[in-house]
Amino acid sequence: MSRLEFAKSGKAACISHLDLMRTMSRSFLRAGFLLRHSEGFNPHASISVALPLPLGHESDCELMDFKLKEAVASDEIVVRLNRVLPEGLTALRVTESSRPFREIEYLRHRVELKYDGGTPAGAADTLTELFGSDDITVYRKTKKSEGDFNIAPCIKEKSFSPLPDGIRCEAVLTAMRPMLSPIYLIAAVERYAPALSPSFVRYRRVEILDGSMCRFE
Amino acid sequence: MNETIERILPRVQKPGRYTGGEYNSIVKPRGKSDVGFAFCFPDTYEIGMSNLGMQILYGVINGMDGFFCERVFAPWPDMESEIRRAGLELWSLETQTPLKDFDIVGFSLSYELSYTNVLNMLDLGGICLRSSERDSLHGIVIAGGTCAYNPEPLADFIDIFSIGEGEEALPELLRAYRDAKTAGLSKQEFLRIASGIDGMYVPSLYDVEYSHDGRVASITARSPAPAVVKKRIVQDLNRSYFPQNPIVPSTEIVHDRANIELFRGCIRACRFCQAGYTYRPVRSKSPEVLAQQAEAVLKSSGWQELGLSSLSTSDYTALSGLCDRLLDFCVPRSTSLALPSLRTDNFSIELMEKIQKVRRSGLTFAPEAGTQRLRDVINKNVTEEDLLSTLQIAFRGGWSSVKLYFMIGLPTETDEDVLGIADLAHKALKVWKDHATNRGRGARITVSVSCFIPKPCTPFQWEAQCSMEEFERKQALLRGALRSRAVTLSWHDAAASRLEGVFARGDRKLGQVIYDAWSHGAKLDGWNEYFDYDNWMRSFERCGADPDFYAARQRDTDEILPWSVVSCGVDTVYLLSEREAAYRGEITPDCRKACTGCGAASLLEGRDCDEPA
Repeated sequence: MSRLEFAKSGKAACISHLDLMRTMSRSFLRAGFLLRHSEGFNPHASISVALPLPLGHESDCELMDFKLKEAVASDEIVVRLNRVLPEGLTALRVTESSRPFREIEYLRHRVELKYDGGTPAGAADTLTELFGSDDITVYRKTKKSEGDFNIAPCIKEKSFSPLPDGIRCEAVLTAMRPMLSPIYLIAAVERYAPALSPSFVRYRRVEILDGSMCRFE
Repeated sequence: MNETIERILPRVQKPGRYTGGEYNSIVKPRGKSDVGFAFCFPDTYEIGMSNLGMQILYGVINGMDGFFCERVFAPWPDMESEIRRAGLELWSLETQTPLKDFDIVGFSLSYELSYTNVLNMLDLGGICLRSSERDSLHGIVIAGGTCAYNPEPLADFIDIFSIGEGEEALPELLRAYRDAKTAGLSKQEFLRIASGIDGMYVPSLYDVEYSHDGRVASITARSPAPAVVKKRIVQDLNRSYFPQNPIVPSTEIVHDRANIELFRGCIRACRFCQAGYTYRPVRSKSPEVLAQQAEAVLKSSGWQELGLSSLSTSDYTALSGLCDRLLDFCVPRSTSLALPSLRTDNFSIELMEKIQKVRRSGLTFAPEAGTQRLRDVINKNVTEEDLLSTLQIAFRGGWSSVKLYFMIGLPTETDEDVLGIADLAHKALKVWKDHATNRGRGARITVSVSCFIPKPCTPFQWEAQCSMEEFERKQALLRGALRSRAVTLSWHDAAASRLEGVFARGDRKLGQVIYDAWSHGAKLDGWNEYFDYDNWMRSFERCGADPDFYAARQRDTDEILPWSVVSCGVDTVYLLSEREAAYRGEITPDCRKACTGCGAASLLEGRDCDEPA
């Protein structure tokens, strides 16, 4: 298996996971690469993307495993893909995949909180204090369950710094056991510090990490 | 993307349809004097992007120096309220330019129930709705497409209709516009020039008078507009523009595939079919050109399905050889063929094997009527034996589900004909029981029944449409007669079909009804969840218009029909003789057996109709 690392940003943030799979298999064909296909009634390209990105979020570090029918040099795959990807998708590198996706433990997120009326005074300090607590309970809904959930144990690192029109939050959150979406950071702000509820939020995934906080690739 | 739009996107369904940026979409660098054309499709992105005509004209215009073309689609209501709340104007996907900033705004009209979307898009785009309220040359509103064969219901809103095929006509109109803009002409001066271009209908240059009973009394063209506007066609399809680099949507659309167009026109003469008459004469592409275009479009798009489109694909003479050539290229790329319009009288085992080479798609056939008598009346020229032996081939070949299309409310139809649909479905099921190779999966026979709508430019253009109550009675009759759980019945909404019937043969007086209905919230009428029949009926009442006058009234053959101002090339005398043949239950042979002289061949210059591919 080969592994493609790619960025998904701007207009491409609006491509859903299923649409991304279709877009990727078409892009490989456009670049002149034949992907291995599954057998059976409705053959489809065997590709898999680690940790589907929520619709509307951006990422610098998406991973996709694939297999070509014929071997091609990694650099060439990157170059040729970038000629045919739609706006907002960028191939970064291709490697041989040695580690399975299940070894992913954390994701580093960059969350920008924007305030139309100007950033409230002391916002960064208030947020630092809020997320320093070991009980941050929000209402969380997953495919399997819904209800109150303490997100504090899922937050591995966090820092808050001022931006010209808001606050930037960098946070390392659990990615698998359990998966904590960065939207719950905002849910916590809305619950515990409603005065700091942002007018608009941008989410960006910046790094995938393993159990020892090393970059997963 | 500006931040206002960026902030809206997370709040709407399927935001990807509003961003643009798809592969092969074109953002042209603009010169100061370049002419901008907004290609508007009055329905959602997923519907509009499936339209081959849009891809063709987008490529044609963007290929012209000094012009650029960008796309605009109807927003879903969640997006519409965001746009209105934020005080934005509907924008083009390529550069987020508001509709009102384009020189020309062009609508593609595929079906009548999109008319309120045209008004809604103009309004959202910051453009006055009525042609008479727009004084400037900037912001000319034009329209083309199938519905333009009866332009009258939209005559109040559209400045120019382009009748027929647009590949050559539209560039001519655009160049005339640029000259007018350079010369500083007024809108009125330009409209007079446009009316002199073949295929252009400028409704404001025609005076329509009505008699006391509401029928058209006279249509008078004001000079220099011609009395009758004849449609434009492309003479040589082999040399006409084909979009080898089509836009590939990043989000799923309705027909998510590459398309090649085998031929235009149709050798059959199904008497209900508007496309069958309006796309004449028959012109084919050569298999060499098609194979080259198919390869190019698959390479540049990466699509893994190739649609072989036409009005009746199994009538393409070189189909078998073409499929072989295409498969040589497609199979290694896991790319499948889709043949959407197959007939049951020339479907073969060989063809079946070809279309299921990569992945098996659904099989759809259209017997259209339940009895031989009625199939003869509509000239479908398909027998029960054809259908059942085709199904036998399909079921033996491993298919277990098949879709059958029918219509109810056809001229001369009796209850026996309606019940014949159930009968045919049960016979189809029996064929499955006798011949299925994988009975474990069970059979699924989908019977899809639409309501017949008499359309302009067909032999049935004078007929009365069935009443809604009658449609519903027939639907109930059929429902009661279908006994098997393996047969699923789906039908079209009778109310929507009636409204479509009203506008299909409507006149200019309907403009105020459309306006009134839109101003009372009508939009996306083609979507069940938004279609509001009662709202429409209130508008008819307020405007003093009777829907039955348009839908349920049989016209005299000497009546001046509102759409007689345009011609698709088929003679009215011919349509009348076909209508009489229908009443006698006589079939007309297809064009290859014998030319019956419909008149459309006169549109060809120095070539014959249906020259060998």
